[in-house]
Amino acid sequence: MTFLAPGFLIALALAIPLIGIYVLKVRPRQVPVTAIFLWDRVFVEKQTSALFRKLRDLLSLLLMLAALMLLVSSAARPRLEDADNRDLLLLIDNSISMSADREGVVALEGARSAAHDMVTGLSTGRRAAVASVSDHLEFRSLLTHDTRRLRDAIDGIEASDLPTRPGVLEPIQKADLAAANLRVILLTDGVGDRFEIPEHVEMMQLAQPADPVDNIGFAAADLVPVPGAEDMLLLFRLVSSCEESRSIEVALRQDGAIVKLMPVEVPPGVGEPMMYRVPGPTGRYQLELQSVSDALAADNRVLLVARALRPVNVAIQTQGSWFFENAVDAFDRSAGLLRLAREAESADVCISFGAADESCGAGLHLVFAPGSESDARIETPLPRQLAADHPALQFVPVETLLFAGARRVVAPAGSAILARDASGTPLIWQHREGERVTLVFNFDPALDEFFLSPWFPLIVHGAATHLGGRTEPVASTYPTGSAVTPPGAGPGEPVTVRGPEPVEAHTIGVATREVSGTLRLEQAGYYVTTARGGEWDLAAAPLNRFESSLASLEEAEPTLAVTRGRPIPITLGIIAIIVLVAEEILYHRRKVG
Amino acid sequence: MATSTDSQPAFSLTDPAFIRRLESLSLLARRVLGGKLQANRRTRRKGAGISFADYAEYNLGDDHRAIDWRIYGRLEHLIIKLFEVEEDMTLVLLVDASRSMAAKAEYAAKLAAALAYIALMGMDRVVIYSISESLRVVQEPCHGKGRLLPMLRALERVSITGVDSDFEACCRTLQARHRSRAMVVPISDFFFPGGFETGLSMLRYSNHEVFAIQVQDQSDRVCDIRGDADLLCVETGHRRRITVTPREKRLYEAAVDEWNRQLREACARSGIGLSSISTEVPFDEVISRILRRGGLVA
Repeated sequence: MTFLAPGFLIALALAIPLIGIYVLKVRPRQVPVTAIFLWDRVFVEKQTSALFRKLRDLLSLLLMLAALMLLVSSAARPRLEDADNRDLLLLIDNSISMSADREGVVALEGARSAAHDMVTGLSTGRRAAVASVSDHLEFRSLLTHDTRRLRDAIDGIEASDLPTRPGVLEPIQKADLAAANLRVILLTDGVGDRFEIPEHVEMMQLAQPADPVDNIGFAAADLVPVPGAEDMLLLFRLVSSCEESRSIEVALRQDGAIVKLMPVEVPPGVGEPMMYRVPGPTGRYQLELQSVSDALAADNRVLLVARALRPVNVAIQTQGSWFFENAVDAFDRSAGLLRLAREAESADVCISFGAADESCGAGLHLVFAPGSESDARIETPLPRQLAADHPALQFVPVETLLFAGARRVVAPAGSAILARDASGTPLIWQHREGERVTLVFNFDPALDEFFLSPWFPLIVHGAATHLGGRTEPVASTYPTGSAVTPPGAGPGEPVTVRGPEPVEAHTIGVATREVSGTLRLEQAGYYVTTARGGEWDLAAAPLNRFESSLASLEEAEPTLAVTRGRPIPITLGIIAIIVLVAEEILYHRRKVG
Repeated sequence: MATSTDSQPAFSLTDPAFIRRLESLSLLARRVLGGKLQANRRTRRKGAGISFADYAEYNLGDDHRAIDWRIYGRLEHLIIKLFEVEEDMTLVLLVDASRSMAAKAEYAAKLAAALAYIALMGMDRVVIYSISESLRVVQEPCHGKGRLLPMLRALERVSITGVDSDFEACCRTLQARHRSRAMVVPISDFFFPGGFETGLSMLRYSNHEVFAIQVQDQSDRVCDIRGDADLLCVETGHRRRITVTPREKRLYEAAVDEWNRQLREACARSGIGLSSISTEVPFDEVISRILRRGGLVA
């Protein structure tokens, strides 16, 4: 054992005045009495108690000296010579499987408890940080000596609906832990998709593979309309950690009422996809395992949203409408994504030349060849795409297009320039004015036989789906942790989100942590998004076959050498306080009786 | 501690105010008891006296001064008048002067002074002794009002002394000195390590009238010690280190109560009057109470 502050040991010299003070302190006061023979009658006592009384003063002095030694030793900050002096980074897995009830043992509670022990065992001078791990790494506390803050951070880690993600610990792997003098301990049940532990991360496994528990959960689910029919197609896949097949029932409910009850046989492992045709209207549905009591309740229920096909209605208000109509029809036939609108008033998107036609009902315009004959043409435009991966241009190689007929025009103030010529002339831009959005392509598709180019229908498709808020197909449910671009979202396109409790209503795409209007569905539940293109219901559920299988992929070291319990100085201080209390009791008995 | 030396008494009994209080008590005694400390001390013995008792036929040798000549004139028969003999009563006051009485010495002296004053006013004889490890004379037998001041001065000079009170030895000495019947009044706290029963019995069976006055103060009855204490016996100097908890406090107070109960029972058995008093009660109120109750009778 060594002392970090041996200078404090000089304070042991205080024992000398302490003894002097004590000798004076324990001397009893003299009391003259008139009838000592009556006191003699009272004190007909046993020899042992008389002996104790004689030894009490000596015992009391010894206790005082012991308390002094303990306090001085505590102040000198002793530590074991072989003790680990690295700072600690505690990674606590709070993925779905950590909340599984493994015969009364919940791994997350065990992780929190172990983390508390480690924080308690932090010796003097060491720091610790706390982070939660699921599909992302989230620091709850930076490196600090403040154990209260660390404890609060540990207690603040709740079970999440998120799975673990491969590579989530990559930032840890890349960090130079030795240079940082940091020891990283991952507290986990070892369950997850390719749950790889970086070389320098020590794992404390809280659930061993040798102790399997029964769990059945949904690995995947979908509810889609059957084209040309009123029915819907329900698809789901179950995963089981049971050693034998089990017969269970799966219920599809809407508003609490069972729409369809399906007896299924669940084999061990990941089962085959199951398909059922179910009647019923669109709306919110719940797919549930009936009367199944297993380790993980979260994966026994999937929320679904069945929605009818909602094509983007496109009105053609320009020359060369035949080509535009064919382009729209092509996407109508294949996936029902676009539909030709006969009336501009009822259209979602209107295509026009030169300028936007005010008669368009939804106020969403796709305009080609802006400007007028007086505007000079650009002879050989050299396009440069400014907004990479813009949803309207996601399938179009902008910088290879010829932009025939492009004119030197100026985009309205406040426009988002998506592509421009080398001279600075905007070639593609988007302008928002209130609810009215105009996407402008500064070229004439009628020139150079661009109507016949394979990029023409893709430009129509990309622009119409972007304007109509249908860039990405909307699924009936998403696995928790999914990053979704809600219909209508895009750069500069705000989307208001109302999520399940406790997710508060918020807006993405403006100034939130979601980049480019992407919504992360971190909790199971229904989300309602409101954006250009209307209001949409989204559902999220913990669909992850690795988490539901509860199979630990690795077995950690059976024991992890971590200092637990109170540090030596604090322990010595506590013992000193106990000794002082004992002495105080003796003192009180001497003085008060 | 109220000790005194020969030169400088610790308290004064000759203070005019105190003497006026004694006069008040004497008047009360005269009204209540006819001036006598004891309600009825007349004997059936006939002889010389001033109170007529009966007639008797004259015999040779009778005091011719007692012949009733008027009856002889009428009946020519010698008849003598008989008078009741009034015995002198001796009041023996035993004032405890042991060290345990140090705090109560003045109070005990005032009680003794009051009783002696009433006795002297009633033409009774008064003797005062102090008791500690032996009997000491404080005031030789005296009677008459003229002895009042010397008696008070003698009481003032009673010194607290002794190393170990011996009540029995004191009583034995008194028994030897006073063989004739007397009224004996011990004034003490009765904290005698050797006990009090033998001494009281000795007094009672020496044909004395005995009336005990027990004087105790608050510190005698209630334990106010807490925790560790080094007890010092004021009489013997004996020491004892103790730790007083609430339990020991209760036991001590119970032991004092038991001691006092034993005193009451011993007095009752021996036909001895007892008045247990506390120093918190004024001494003249105590005397008044005794007088109104009928004097020093059991």
